[in-house]
Amino acid sequence: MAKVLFINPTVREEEEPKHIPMGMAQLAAIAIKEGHDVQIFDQNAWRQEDDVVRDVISSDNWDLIGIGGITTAYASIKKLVKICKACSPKSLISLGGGVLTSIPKEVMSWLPEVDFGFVGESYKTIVDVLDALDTKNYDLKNVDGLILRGDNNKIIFTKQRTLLHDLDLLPYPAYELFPVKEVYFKNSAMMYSEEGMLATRRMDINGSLGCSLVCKFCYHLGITGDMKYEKNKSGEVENVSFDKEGNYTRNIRFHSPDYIINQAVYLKKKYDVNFIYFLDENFMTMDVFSKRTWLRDICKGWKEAGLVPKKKKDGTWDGVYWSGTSHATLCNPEVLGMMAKHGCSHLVYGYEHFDDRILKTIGKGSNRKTNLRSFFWTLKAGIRPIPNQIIGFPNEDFDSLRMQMKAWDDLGIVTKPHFATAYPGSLWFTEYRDEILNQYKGQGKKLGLHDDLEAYIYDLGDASRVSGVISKNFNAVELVGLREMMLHRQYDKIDQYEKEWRRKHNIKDGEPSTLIREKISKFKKIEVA
Amino acid sequence: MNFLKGNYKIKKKFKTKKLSKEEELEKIFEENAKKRIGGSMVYVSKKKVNWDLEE
Repeated sequence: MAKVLFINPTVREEEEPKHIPMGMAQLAAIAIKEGHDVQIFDQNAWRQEDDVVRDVISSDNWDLIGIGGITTAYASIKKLVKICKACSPKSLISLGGGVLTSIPKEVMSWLPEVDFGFVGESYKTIVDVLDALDTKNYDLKNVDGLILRGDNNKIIFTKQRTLLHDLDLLPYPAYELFPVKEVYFKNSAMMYSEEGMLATRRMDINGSLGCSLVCKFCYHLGITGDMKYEKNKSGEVENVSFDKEGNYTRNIRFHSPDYIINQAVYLKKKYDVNFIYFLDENFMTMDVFSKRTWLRDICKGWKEAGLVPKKKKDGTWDGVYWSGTSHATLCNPEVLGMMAKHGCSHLVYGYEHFDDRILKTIGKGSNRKTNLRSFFWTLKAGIRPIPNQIIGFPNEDFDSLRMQMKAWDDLGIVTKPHFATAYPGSLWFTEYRDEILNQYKGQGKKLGLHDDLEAYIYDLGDASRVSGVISKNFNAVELVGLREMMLHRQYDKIDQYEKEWRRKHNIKDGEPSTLIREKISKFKKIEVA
Repeated sequence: MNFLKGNYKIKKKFKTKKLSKEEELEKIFEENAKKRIGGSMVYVSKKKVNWDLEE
């Protein structure tokens, strides 16, 4: 058997750790099922100083140290791989997750301590890698789904890994290998609903993978069939690529309702959970794809398993409240009503914006009307809608900002919107990579990093802070200032700044407030009451 | 504190710096104060003060 240490890097340092990383917990469960020795160090949960991290890494002789995470964990990963190499030089160090899959060649060149990487989905790849290490076979060229260092440090891809067809074959995530009681239960509360706030033993389930939609800011990193291997003339894989305008591929997979109910019952029995947060990208995609049977059967199963919550006089409840994600065009009042009746307390909607001129450019398939309609449907059903908002879209202008504020006023939305951000793997990243690199020119050298792209990745947060700007009309300083005025509904200050902006860019009153010249002739003035 | 969780036991015991009551209080104060930063609510991180600053 192989001996593996999984390390969960720190993400969103400014926030308390709230979620067990599902991918890593699943891989750990698979490795255990295959008979290997597994330990997990959840640095995101423990947030320990470097000397403790060194102690932990030195505590055994690992065949493999597997680190993985999303792009925003890059800074923590960069630090961790250095410590791993120094403290456990004989161990192989691997990296996986979105941080690697989105730009695998670049990340391998930035992190020389990483011996190989898991590209895309790793459910099957981890089994093959550990089998190989178990027999002391360190030549991994025949294992699909990897990026390796070949002769002369040449970076090579092995064959693309096929996706697991039946998600129900997966064991439940190894929740027990994470500090559930020590850390995660203490951070159970989520301020999305009254029940979410009062949750004291919350755990997460991921019921599905993928999404049928083609939002330009979103990224699926190969788990939804969106990743392609680009080959050169000699047939060697040069790199991976993701969504391109007009060239999308999608693969929708979801657990059966029975699997999900059994998992929820398992969490109830083992941990006495009182809230389950579904991490799925988009509940409603799965429901539509299943011809409206998936959520119906989950709700039915929830009831049959005795999980439907019942409030008690003291404000606590028996059973399990739950929450998930929805979509403006894919929900309907019947589904929402059924979900509310079975304990759904809130649904996250990526409305992003309330101006149709913006919405029609982002590939979401929704518009102002569907956003408003689903908002009221959800409220009427008795579920709290969580309408995520973004500003700084490529074609954002003063009128669209006012349109956002007007909607916030009309709908009682209190928000601090994200900034439109091009995360690696998204169509936006493909489209705006050069412009972003221009904004980070010289930063790589200044920060002692490999190049300017690494400086951008290092700077990426959860988009509540400005990083690479993709707006054609506003720079970073303007976006931060405008957001601050929007929060406080300072319409007059925004009007005042628009005058200055027009003078600066030589755009007359009455003309649209945009620097995208070709769009001006098609511009239709929007009146905001 | 056992920072490793797995399907077998690790013999090594991990030591963390034990905080005094004062340090523990300061840690809790820092966490709570930082959540309320804005306007007249300002926090000074004593650990980050540059005592060698010459002006």
